[in-house]
Amino acid sequence: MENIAAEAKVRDELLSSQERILSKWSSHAKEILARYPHLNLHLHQVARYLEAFGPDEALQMLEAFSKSAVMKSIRVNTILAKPEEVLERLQSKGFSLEKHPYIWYGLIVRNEPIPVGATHEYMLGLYTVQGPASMLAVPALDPPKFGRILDMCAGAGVKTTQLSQHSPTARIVALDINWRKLLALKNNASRLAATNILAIHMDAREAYTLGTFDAILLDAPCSGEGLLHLEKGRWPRSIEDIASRVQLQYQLLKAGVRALKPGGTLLYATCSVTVEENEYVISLLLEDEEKLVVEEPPIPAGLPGITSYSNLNILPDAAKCRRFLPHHHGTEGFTLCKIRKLP
Amino acid sequence: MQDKEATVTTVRAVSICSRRIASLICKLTLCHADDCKWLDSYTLVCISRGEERTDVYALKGRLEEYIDPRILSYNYPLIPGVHVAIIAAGQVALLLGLLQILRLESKITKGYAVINRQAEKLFLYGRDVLPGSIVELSPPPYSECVDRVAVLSLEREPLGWGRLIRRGNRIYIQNLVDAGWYLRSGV
Repeated sequence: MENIAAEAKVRDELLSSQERILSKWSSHAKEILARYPHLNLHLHQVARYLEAFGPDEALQMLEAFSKSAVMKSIRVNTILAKPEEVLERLQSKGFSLEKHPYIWYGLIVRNEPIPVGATHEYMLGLYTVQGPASMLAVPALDPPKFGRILDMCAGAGVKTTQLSQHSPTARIVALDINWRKLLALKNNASRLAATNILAIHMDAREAYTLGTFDAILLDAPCSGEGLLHLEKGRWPRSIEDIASRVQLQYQLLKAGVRALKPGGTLLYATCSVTVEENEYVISLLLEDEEKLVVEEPPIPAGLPGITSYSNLNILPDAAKCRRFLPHHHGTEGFTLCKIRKLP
Repeated sequence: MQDKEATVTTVRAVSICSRRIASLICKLTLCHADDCKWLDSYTLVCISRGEERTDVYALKGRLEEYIDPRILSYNYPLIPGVHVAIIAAGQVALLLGLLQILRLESKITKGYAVINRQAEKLFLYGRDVLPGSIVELSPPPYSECVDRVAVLSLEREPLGWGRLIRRGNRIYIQNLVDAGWYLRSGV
């Protein structure tokens, strides 16, 4: 999709798909809209959920978002502390914690006498606050202990610092187009003693100018439809909103593939439950790039990717993507797809 | 002086720090640790805005292991590792990042003050430490250390940097920067 005509084609496909979806689900979607006014949904959005998940699952998902039935979690910074130590220290302060079901250095916060992001232990860098599904992106990538790793849209560096604790002897380059977010990354790297991160304020679509990388994390800008449990996540998304995100996501994926060494892996992640921003855009990429394969990520959870949706062309291999949903996993809505570039 | 980061549009020069600055960081490390061997496995990168201010960063390994150093000439704003010091107007401000590196790579053996639990809470809110709250004190060994101490919790975890203030026979610790800054910084 390197030109305006190609981008327009994708936009047309998505708009056409949305029309089909609306004609099928419009009246049902309107009933659901009326049921969840506080979620601030768009008619397009509800219809897409009905198409992707079916009526029962869509309702269960929205009910879970409505009740904010999503676990709160922290990631223990294994550079400075052990999970048992953090657990004990926070419990002694009145916190109620459990082990994360899928990751050994994650803790679920069941009860917090004070905000978990305001403790001395947080300030000293013993842990950081991170969503329970978001925490699975780095293990899914499973980056090498040595070599160069790229975090294309690093933001405040939550996953970047996780890359650092996973691979403290690797060399991590973090990019973001937003300088203020990189200032937050600077503070997080300092707080968490993540000493092997070099952050650059640049557009990740130019990442290929930095050479090639052994592993790449692309936590792509997205619609955020997986965050409906949060007040700030509740705004109506039309298909035009989704289409503009898909265009950017595709450009970023192309740039990431260009910067990936043969044999290397790229982990694409979004906090979105839409098929358009996940299985569809991955399928577009695979059709365009011969030397790519989708792999099953090495994580013990997640539902398979969706391979049939409206009339969009989605490749069977998209089933190897992993989906996390609040009513199944107690997590924020999240989707992961792991891609390998063949040697 | 933990940080007032310049805007993106400020003109900066990025380079590997000179031997003079590396030597300065080593000397300041020796105010608090027995050696500065940690510098052997880090690259110090300096970002200067003319003569006004130099920000010193410590990056694990060599710069060329991350990027081609020629990219520095493209003037992309960079954050090359952990921010450890600011040099401005002839003064050096050591930052929280250096404390974390010393915690990881070395051991704080001198130039420190251990404070009690109540003082820890107040210090992390940006307050000074009163004389009765100092549990253990190892004064800075050299005059170049300018009375700076690493402020530690009872568990000897680094809470921040302070400066010893002597008033008669009482010693206070002025809060220079504390780990609560990470929450107060608004970034």
